[in-house]
Amino acid sequence: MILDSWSPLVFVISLIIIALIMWAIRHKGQRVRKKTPAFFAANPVPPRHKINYMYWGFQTAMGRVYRVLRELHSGLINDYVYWLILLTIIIWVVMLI
Amino acid sequence: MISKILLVPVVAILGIAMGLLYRGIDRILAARMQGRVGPPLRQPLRDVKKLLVKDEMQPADAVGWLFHLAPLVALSSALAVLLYLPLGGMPPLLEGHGDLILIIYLFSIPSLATVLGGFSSSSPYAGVGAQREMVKMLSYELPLVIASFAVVWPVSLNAARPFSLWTIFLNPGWAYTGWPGWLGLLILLAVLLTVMPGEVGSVPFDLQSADSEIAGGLLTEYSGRNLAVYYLADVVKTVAFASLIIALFLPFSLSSVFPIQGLLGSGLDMLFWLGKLLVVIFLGSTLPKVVTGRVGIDKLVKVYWKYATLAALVGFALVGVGIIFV
Amino acid sequence: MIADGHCMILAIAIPLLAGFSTPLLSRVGRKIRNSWVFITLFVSLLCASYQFLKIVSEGVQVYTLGAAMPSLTSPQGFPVRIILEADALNGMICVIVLSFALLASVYAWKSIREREDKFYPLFLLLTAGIVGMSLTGDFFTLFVFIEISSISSAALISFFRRGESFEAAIKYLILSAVGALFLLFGVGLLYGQYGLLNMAAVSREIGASHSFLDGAALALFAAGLLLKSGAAPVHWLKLDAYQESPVPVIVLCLLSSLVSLYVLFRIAFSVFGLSLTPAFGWVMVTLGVGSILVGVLMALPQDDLKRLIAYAAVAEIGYVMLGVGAGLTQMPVLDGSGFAALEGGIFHLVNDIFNLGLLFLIAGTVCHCTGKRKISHTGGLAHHSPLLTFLFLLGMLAISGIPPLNGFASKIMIYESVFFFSPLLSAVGLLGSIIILAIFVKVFALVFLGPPSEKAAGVPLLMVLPMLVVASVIIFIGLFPHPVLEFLIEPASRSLANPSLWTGGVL
Repeated sequence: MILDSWSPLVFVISLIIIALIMWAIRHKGQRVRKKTPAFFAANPVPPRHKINYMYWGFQTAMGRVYRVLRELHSGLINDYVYWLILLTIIIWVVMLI
Repeated sequence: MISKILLVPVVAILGIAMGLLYRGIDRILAARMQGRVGPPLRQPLRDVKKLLVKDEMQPADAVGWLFHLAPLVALSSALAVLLYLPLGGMPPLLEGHGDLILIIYLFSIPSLATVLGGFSSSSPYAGVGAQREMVKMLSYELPLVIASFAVVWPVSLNAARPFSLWTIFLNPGWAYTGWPGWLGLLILLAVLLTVMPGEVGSVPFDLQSADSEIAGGLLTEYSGRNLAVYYLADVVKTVAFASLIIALFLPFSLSSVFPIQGLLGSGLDMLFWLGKLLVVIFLGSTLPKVVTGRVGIDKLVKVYWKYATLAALVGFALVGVGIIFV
Repeated sequence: MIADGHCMILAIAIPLLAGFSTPLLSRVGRKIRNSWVFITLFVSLLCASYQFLKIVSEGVQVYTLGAAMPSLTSPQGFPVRIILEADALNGMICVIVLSFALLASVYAWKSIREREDKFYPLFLLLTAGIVGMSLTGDFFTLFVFIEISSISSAALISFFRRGESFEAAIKYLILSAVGALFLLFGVGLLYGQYGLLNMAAVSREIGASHSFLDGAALALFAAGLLLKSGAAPVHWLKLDAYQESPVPVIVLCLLSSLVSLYVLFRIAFSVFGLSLTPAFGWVMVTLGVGSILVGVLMALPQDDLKRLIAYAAVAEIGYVMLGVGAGLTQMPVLDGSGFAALEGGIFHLVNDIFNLGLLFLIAGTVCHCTGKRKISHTGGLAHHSPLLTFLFLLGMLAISGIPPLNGFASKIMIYESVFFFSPLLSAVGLLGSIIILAIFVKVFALVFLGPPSEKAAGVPLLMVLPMLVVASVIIFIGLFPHPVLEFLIEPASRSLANPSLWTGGVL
């Protein structure tokens, strides 16, 4: 079962062929004529748009999960060692089954 | 092998033609449902030709090579998916060289390319649109994956190489599960029809290119031939995803029911497949477009992560029960 | 040739001795010392490669320290002295470790500019520790080498002498000491029962059913080694370490976590292999899925660049554990989908080293050239260095498993074989992959795209060269996975699936 259903070379060759055809279609269009500033409804574009909180939608929808996760990642070594002991006990108990 | 490689351009051109045709039908149906006449059937082709004539503009601050490369990658990968799907009731062109998991990954590449193109255009509107598209992609993947794997599950117990699309096409899940499984498969079909507008980027999940909110969103700075390429990628994605749904859930062929052999049989199968494609595109794209309105980002995440995932898990469990009941 | 049979010990000894001699050469000159480091690592790499070729042609290689002949392992029927043992999996990992150490030293030439006379001895010591961990056939030597690598890593983590670096180093020191202590308890349990420290001999003693104390020993080993490799729920060790260390140290820490994962597999398969119930495999699978989810979810909101990639590393370790754990549930008879899962896991281990290595190299370069650590402060780097942008794009696609790169090849193997164990776990794995893509798109967009920011320093060639080497290997493995699988990964997996191959080398 050694990866008999994936051939990367065939994939790459097909992709290149398709890309060439698409390039030919695109070539029928006009080349770059103008370099304009970005559209912002005639206002000056803000110098650095903050897209840091990119996944806030995801994070708010999963709010409860994230609160739990943040609490767990406390940064205290005591907690970390407790987790290690807990893991050892769990593995040992499971092994006894 | 060489013959398959030579047929690749044929499939690509056919893919674009089918995409434009079905987009035209889609627009006519949507118009009639809204009480309008609608554009002629050739309208999408005219749109593409018009876009090719327009000037192409590039923002001054854009990352040039990525800005122009992104549409090309989007269209190429959307067409590459067609090579691995059974079209017209015939085995995929590159059968044996790629399977369902490859297709799921390939479906994420056009969205990825569009997002990178949006970010590279350094427009604030494009930034917002690109973020929304990323969150949307994150969200619909889970129901999509659960639903696809649930369909493969009964096949895997009864056939070798269960992930190959042709095997799934020949051994539909309907045959291997009892009636609970049929209920489960229907639920999963509904889940995938819900994923389809998100995947394709049409209403109600089209907030990445919301015209009224963010001035075009992802595609704000794109014009001319780049926009034409994106438009083609859109229509091809619709056809490709609908073909995936047909391959997973509706693989029946007429020539096995009515004993017609040979060329006539294949022709009949092809027509039947085109009809199925019409039904799926109607249910997955036209109907939601006409009936619903745009959904905000937090509601979208809830729809996919809570309701669609829950439904997919219920369908998955029912399929499991059905396997036992066979 | 005198050195013919001694390659294994040379691969460990040369970096060790070079590490101790480097301070002397520092007094001579900077270029001479750096060349000395490069030459010694290169020679060790040659030894490791020669040894790997011997493994490919002759089978398992052993080396007994201090015996009349290197292969004289068991004079009276049981093994005495420290025995190094290398089979297909070992040898390959040793070669990869030394190549990456070499690349890291090339990178360090230009990037480490202060306190170099303290950096290089510790760097070589850490390399020797990791190579020793990968080659050892003996429990106590394992403990010694783990301690060597922990202590030198802790010192290197504090290199930048910021407040956070010291905090990270202290945490690393304490946690790895506790973990190594757990390991020592496990060794003690085994020694107390059987009076033997050699892995092959203990494996023979345990045989087909392990006793109550053996189970406890395995639990202690697993916990200690999982701590060192950075799997959830004990992934804490590596987070701060990756965030604060200089780039060459990050590369070596990554290697040490993947080598400790290898050691865990070695103990689970070759020592305890014949006596395992499926329970242990399912524990590994659960921990793997947990690592994927925790790593992926916590990486999403991160602001610090290297910490984000550290969480992604946790997720990738989860994939390896998922694959190998699924194979582990089928011991002692391993064929069909279980073996495929094992192969996928080992293949992903190798791919991880390259993908994560590339990403860390680029991240460290970005921090070095712009002087900024947080993603929200950077931007627009694509305008200054398109090469870095392209390489990061490559790394991002590779680690998310986008075809046709190497991540896809190993992930598809893991998904398709884990599917037969549990379709839902496979689905979670696929989802994790897409979320990793989302995370790195955010990083890429914030760091590289956007309007051009203030001018950043140019990237020296010697820092770009290792990235180019790693990137070409990634592309090569991606385009030609079948030869890699056939010649490297399958013999390695077979050596894990067959414990008698390992024990037969010594006894």
